[in-house]
Amino acid sequence: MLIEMNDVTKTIKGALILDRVTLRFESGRIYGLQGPNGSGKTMLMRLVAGLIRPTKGEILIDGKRLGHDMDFPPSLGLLIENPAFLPGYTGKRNLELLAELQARVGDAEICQALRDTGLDPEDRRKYRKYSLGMKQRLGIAAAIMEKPDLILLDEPTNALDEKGVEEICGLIRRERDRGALVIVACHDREILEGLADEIYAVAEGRVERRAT
Amino acid sequence: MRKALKAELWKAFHDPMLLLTALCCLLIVAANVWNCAAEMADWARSSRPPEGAAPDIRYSTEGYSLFVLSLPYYPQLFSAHVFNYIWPLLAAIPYGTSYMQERRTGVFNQVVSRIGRKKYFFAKYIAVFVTGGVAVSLTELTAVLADAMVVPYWRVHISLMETLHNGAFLSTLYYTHPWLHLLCWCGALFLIGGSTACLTFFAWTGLRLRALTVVIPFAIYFVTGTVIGRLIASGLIPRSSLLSKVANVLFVVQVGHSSYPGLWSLAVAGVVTAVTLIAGYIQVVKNELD
Repeated sequence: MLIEMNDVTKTIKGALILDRVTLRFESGRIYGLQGPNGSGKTMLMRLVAGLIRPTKGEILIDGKRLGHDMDFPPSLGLLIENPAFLPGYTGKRNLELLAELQARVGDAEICQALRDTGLDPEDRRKYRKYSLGMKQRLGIAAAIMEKPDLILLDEPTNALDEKGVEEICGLIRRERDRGALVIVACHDREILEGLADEIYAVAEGRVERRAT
Repeated sequence: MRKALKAELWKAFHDPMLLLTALCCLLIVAANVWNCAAEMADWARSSRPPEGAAPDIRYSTEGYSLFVLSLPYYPQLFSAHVFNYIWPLLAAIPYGTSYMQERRTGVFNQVVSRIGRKKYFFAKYIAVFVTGGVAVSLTELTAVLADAMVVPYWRVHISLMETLHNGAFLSTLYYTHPWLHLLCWCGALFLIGGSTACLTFFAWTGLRLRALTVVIPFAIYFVTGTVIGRLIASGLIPRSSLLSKVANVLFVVQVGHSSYPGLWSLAVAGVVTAVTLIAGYIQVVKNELD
């Protein structure tokens, strides 16, 4: 998969969020977006996910224009901002409901994704009873369970302890090694430096590549 | 689309709000049975003529049929009065807030990134429509069946009692095949309730309070109808004007009642369905996701 952002500008209600961003992402690599809160990292991810459209410029996925030739990237797993699930069901049931929409994966893959993220598939607790760390892990499980070609993770290490951060970083590397294109937004530079193949600094709507 | 619809219907019929709706409906049904039982007791007392006197024609048994006293036919009973006012709420409660809820929590992003906006919208629309329709029509059907425990069933003869006036929903069928009429009315009510529930798609995405989404259909019908009704009564709008006719259509009590002109009931359902489909499509599919 090849993603090209050409001169992408995004303004919301007159405020400039991203200013003429030109980037190129390729499969089999982890890209880190680093910057303070409100710098435009999440907005950039939402643009790549197809959830919002650029005010100017274009985003091409394998040569096809996002928002014109396709609504969303064809194989996408995402965790943007907070994990979002139905509070009245178990973690596994929530993943099943999402998986049923495409029917690409079955019970075995769902259980594996839960185990990979350190969750117990047999846990009968409802999502509303989960701790913040468990919610975060479930969000990552939802993003990876269908083995997507493109994985977007916004602050995936939020609410995780040190061991949890290591586990999730290991999982993200395995996804990269599988051939997925992974974009990770994180305000913690140290985590990104240990994880990403390329890091981009996002500040005041501008994006610049950092040496890794 | 089939998978998306299956998932939406599963969520809709497992939503805790459906239980709340069922509880409200059961309360209305129970109240209606109570009201009907009281009417029957009153009839039993009143119809007994004094010794030696002829039976009083006013207390003819004709007026005490299931198809006269029950919820869809007799709005004067307290329970029927309540139902006729709150049915738009009952339609919206089960699943009307789910779109707003999913937008707010972010579940929306998870789903649309997998199936696209269009499939999401149509699956959600059908689920909201079905739950709204079921909530309203099943309440009336259950009420009639429950009322049958205390009120006798006999066919109403038009020469003795005009429960449904000429022009009301399938009024001829009512006098010849009342059970079939009841089923047809419940079918119409399913369409009216379903389309009414979809008025919740008018909720704007900035709306935080879930309860307000539920109130939207009620507010649209009731406030519009009442305000225009008041303007007509005060003479500011001529009775013969188009706006006056619109007010009649929007007036909530009439649309949800079997004595309301059948064609208008179905026309309201059709117009509301078309309008909500367009509004919902713009809201969910065309609007930029924020």
